[in-house]
Formats: sequence, structure tokens, C-alpha cells
Amino acid sequence: MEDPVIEIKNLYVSYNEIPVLENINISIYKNQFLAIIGPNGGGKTTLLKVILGIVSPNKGQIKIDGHNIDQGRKLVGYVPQISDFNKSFPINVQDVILMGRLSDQKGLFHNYSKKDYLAAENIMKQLDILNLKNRQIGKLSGGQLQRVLIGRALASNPEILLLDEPTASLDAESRNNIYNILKELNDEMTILVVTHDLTAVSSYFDSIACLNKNMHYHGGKNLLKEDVDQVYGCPVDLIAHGIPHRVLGEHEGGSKDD
Amino acid sequence: MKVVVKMIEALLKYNFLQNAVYSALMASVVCGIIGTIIVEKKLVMMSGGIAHTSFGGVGLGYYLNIEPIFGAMFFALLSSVVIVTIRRKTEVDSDTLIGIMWAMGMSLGILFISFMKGYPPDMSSYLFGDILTVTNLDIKVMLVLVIFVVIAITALFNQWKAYLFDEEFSYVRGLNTNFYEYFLFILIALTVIVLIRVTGIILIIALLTAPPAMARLFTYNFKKIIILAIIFGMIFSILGLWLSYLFNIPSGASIILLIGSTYFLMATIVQKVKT
Repeated sequence: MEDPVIEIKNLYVSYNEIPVLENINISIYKNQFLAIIGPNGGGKTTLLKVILGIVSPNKGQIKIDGHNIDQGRKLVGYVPQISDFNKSFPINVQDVILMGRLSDQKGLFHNYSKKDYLAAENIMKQLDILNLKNRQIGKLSGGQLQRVLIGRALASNPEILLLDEPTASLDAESRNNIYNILKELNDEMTILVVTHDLTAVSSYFDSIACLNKNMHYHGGKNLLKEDVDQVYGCPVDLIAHGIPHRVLGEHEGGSKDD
Repeated sequence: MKVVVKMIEALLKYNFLQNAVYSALMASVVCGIIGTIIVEKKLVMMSGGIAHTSFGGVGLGYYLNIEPIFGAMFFALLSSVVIVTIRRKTEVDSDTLIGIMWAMGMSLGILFISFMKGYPPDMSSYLFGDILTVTNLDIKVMLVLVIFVVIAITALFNQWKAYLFDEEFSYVRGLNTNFYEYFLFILIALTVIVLIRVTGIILIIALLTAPPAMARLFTYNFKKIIILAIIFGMIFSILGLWLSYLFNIPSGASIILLIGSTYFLMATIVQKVKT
């Protein structure tokens, strides 16, 4: 079996002594398309931030492509939640995407090179936002802004893409559009998506993990499909009853029986 | 026309008027740059806090009989570093923190002055600015600070832009956001020092915010906002200075009132044109 791209062992994280993540163990393999679902405050975003080195764990080990986080996170592209943004900031689409090519090694009086601009342009073409190149980001629709942020993450040529709620507050069409883009990107890279969007889970992802302080992950690389169906069966049912909070309650019980 | 000729004659003749013009122009440059940054990063009140804290340094300067501007610089730098550190290390709300430091700085200033023997010095030029009393030493200090601020921002422009727009992503890209945060606050402190003589501690905030706010009415480009803000700042500070000379009114007040009312006028017109 090949080595995992991301390997998390025995991970514990707490904020001000309140535990957020407990005993997380997961191995994610190359070209996996993993959804992480769970209730608000379940630690989904925190898990992404740990992988990115923004939040440091209290305990546990994370390897990204065999490296520790400091080295490994260079392989990771990050797409944060669009709600966290200062959308009035005077910056246009092209400049946001170019940001993905910046690093501290660029030094003083740095200018983006022709190569950087070309890469940005190709990405914008690929994501169908080239016509929005000069638009200030506050003047984009949610779906467009989401594509811009994906573009920014792609600009650093990542091998792993982490997305935080990429389809929150998008209409059905933009949502499908985003998932189709991700599906295409999945041929070249490993993708982790934190989402509430349970309707998309079965049709697009090839594996799924539930996170509510503890992780319930049923997928090894080879037996993903059955697990997806199994996990997916319960939340959809409950969501339909309009009691999303029970999703995990029910689900936790179910997973313990596994 | 006659007034203009008279003004130019006076300008050529009097050193204090030349210094006033130089300081107005230099103030406009840092205001355009740092003002735009603090407006976009929503650090306006933070900057006001640093400005007011520096009053403690002015008082200390008088008390120890050193140049008050150096006392102010020491206090401004100290308070900016303290604010960032406390903000990072604890969960105290920045707003609360600024409120406390703001008033403490002012109180220290008053305290130091009250310790002085004899007749207390006139503090109003530090509080409200008096551009017509800017000394040659002030000009030299300002020039050094302005050059430093301009180089610090232009040399790392792309990095600053990324940091200001999205701190978290910049960190993920390997930028040392810790460094940028401290550095930004130090630059704000230095800007405050440049502006103290021009508008005074109390009026600084308006000169920092009005030109970028005006520029923002016309463009969405970060670099253009800075450049436009510098130009607006220069035009209105010189005009304000002229009015102050003409009618013998305090320069800080005339510059701020002119720039503030022009902003509201412009904003109204632009709003009307757009709809």
C-alpha cells in the first residue's frame, strides 16, 4: 500500500483548555476526495488549521507527504471560508490569484514575473473567471468569489487542496459548478472539503469523515463506496426531518457499533 | 490673484512658512500611505490610541527637558508594541485596550507637566498642531521618518498587500505575519510623530482617514488609492495652511475642517452621480 499523503495520529487540540479535537486518527491517500462533515463547532475548521500549521496541536503527530507540517504545508493549497473576508478591500481578481504565488523568499522590491502572470491567467481561464480579471472582489457573486479563492490556492501548485465550506450560501447552480471544478482537479490532487452540504456528499466525494470532537472515519482507500453509503444514509434521513443537530447524535451511536 | 502673489512672496521670505509647506507635504505622503492601510485594516481607532498615548511622551519630554517630539516618539513606539503584544497574548478586546491606553497616555502627560516647576508650558501646539511653529529640527526628524515609512512600504509592497488583505492566507504562504503586524504598528507610531506638529495629537485621525476615504470614492485599486490620497492630502493641507495664514486661525483646525467638509461634499456628489 502506498504511503498516505496526510497522516494524522493521535491528535489533540484544545482552545483555552476546552477540547476541540480529541484522538483524531486518519490517513488520507493520493487523489482521495474526502468530505469532512459535522456540526458547527465540531472542530472541522480547526482540523484544517492544524494541517496548515495555523493552529498548533497539544498532542499528536501530523505528516504531510512524509514531512512535518513546516515543510509539508508548502504542498497544501488553502481555500478559506468566503464569509471571513474583508470583501471591501481594494484588490482585484488577478491580484488575489497572484497572492498565491507569493512567499517570504521573494524578498525586497518584489514584482510578480511574467511567469507568475501567465500562471494566473491560465488558472483564471481554467476556472472561467478570466473576464473578471480586473474586477474588485466585492463586486463578485458568491460563486465567482469562491472560484477566485480556489484559483489563489491553485496558484501555488499544491498537491493537496483544503477547502472550508466552499459551497456555503451558494445557489444550486454555483454549487454544482464548484463541485465539478473540484472533481476535475481531483485527477491531479488530493482534496479535503469541510462541508455542511450533505446533498453533494454521495454524488461527488469518494470518502467521508464525520467530525464532532472525535472523528468517525469509515474509509480505507479500497472500501470507500460502501462506507459512504452507510454514513450517508443516516444524515440525509435526519436532515430531511429538519433536526440537523441530531445527525451526529444518531450517527455517533451508529459508528460505535462498527 | 493678489492674495496668491502675496502668499508666494511671504513663502519665499519666511523660513517658518517654508517649513510649514515642507511639513504639510511630508505629512501628506505618510498620511496617504499609512492612512490607506489603517482604513483598510480597520485600525483607525488603534492609531488614535497610539497618537493620544504619545501625549505622555510630550509631557515627559518637557519634564526631563528633552525635545518633546522624542518623548512622544518613545511613547508612541512603546504603546504600539505593547498593544500588539497584549492583543496577541491575551484575549483582551483591542477596543478596550485602546480606551485604557488612550486615557492613560493623556493622564501621564498632564502628570509630568504638573511636576514641572514654574509656569507650565503651552501644550496646545502639540494637542491641536501648529504648523507655523515647525522648527528646522522637526523638519529633519520628519524627513527621516517619512523616508523610512516610504521605503518600508514600497520595498515590501506585495507582501504588505497580501498581509493586509488576508493575514491567514499570507501565513499559510510562509509570510511572517508576526513581523508584519509589529512592523505595521511601528510604522503607525512613526506616522503619528510626523503628524503631531502638523495637526496635533487630537486631530491626527482626520488627516489619516479623510484623504484615503476621498480616494476610495474614485478607485478600487490599492496602489491608486494611496497615490490619490497623497495628492488629496497635499492639495488640502496646503490650502488649509494658506487659509490658516490668511485668516490667522490654527492650522490643524483649518486643514482638518477643509479636508473633512470636502470629503462629505465629494461623497455626496459621487453618490448622486452614481445613482
